[in-house]
Amino acid sequence: MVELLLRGTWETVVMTFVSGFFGFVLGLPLGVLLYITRTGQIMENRAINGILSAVINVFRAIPFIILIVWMIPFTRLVAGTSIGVGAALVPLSVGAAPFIARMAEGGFLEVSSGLVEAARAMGATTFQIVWKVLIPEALPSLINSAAITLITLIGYSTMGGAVGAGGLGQIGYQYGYVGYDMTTMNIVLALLVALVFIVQTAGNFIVRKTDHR
Amino acid sequence: MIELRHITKEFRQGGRVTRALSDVSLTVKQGNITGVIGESGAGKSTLIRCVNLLEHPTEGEVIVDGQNLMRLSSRELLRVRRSVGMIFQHFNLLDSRTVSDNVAFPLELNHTPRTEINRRVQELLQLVGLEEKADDYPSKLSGGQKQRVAIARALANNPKILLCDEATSALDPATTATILALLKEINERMNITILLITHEMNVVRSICTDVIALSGGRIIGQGFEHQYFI
Repeated sequence: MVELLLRGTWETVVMTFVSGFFGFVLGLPLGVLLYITRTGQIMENRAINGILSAVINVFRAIPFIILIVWMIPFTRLVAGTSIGVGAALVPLSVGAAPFIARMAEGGFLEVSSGLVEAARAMGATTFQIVWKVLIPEALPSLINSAAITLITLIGYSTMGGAVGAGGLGQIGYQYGYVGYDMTTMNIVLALLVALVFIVQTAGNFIVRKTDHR
Repeated sequence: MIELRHITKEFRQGGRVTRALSDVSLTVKQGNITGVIGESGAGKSTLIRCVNLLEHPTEGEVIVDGQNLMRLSSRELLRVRRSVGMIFQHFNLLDSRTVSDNVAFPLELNHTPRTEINRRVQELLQLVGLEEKADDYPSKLSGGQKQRVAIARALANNPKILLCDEATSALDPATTATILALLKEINERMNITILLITHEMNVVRSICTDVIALSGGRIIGQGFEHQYFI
């Protein structure tokens, strides 16, 4: 039993962090694009901004449990299977990306427009403005977003557990919901709560270290 | 050094067109400190932003150091901007960088080698009297100190021109005086041409060699002998 719970915890941690990583790899560039193509920004482009914004809204509107099922053909294509931790990473990453894009956009909006103007006046390229001004200046807010995203992903990954993704979600579902084993279910809950606390506390700590405002 | 020819700038917002500048022509001579004075809304900010094309004039020509900026490619424009320093009312320092890294910023943009950056940053911080603050973050500095950092940053690439956008408007009178003295010193020692905009007459009187009055997007007076300034 202990071994089962340990493995479940490990699987949940892997699913959360790996999909969080891929979610950022996909979502952060989208967030940058969303921000710089806004009206009045450095790469203003109504068409790109409108399309991107609509696609993100669509993906954010799909309930995660449906996204998992809906994406099964694509998941099989990428992961070779639709069952297990590896397969769960695909919908988790895709589910997290639009969420991260919106939160990153919000972080960039908090950066004073004067800083972007100063960088333009100094002859910075668009890439330099993004890399040397927007991302570093929005870093505390991006890290805070990362903590929120990881916590959301812990929840999503347990939902995935109900349809064969493994991890604590599957244990809680099988032993608690199917098997009426209240003790195991409560232990699973306690472990999930502990994970959420650890992520949020670590996030707050890093934000304090990086925030010089 | 700077020549604006028949600059008109219109902003379109929804269906409405507002004219911020109408047929403005002016010349800033090499080595001068030229002040543009006017109340808020007169078009001063738009005017100074036309000099490095942060704003593109709707009509007219911008000639800086012999080059017509309106005809440059975007890459060439970046190079011109790197040779024109600019400071702002609200300083616009990066909160995520220390004082020395803020000064290093424009040098990083054109890929200056690290050892050269370190040498130059030290030199500039010495010039503005902030060597001890090198490793502090801007949030720890006073307004006057922040503007000194901004000046050091603006001078990093040895510009021939310095643009000052209401650079002392957020500072108290005593600090204003020290910043103006620093600008004067930079102008004299390094022979840097300065164009500044302000709404304060005492700024113009204390350091400018030439003055232009702007109102409603038009030039309404020029030179200290003009009745506007007497």
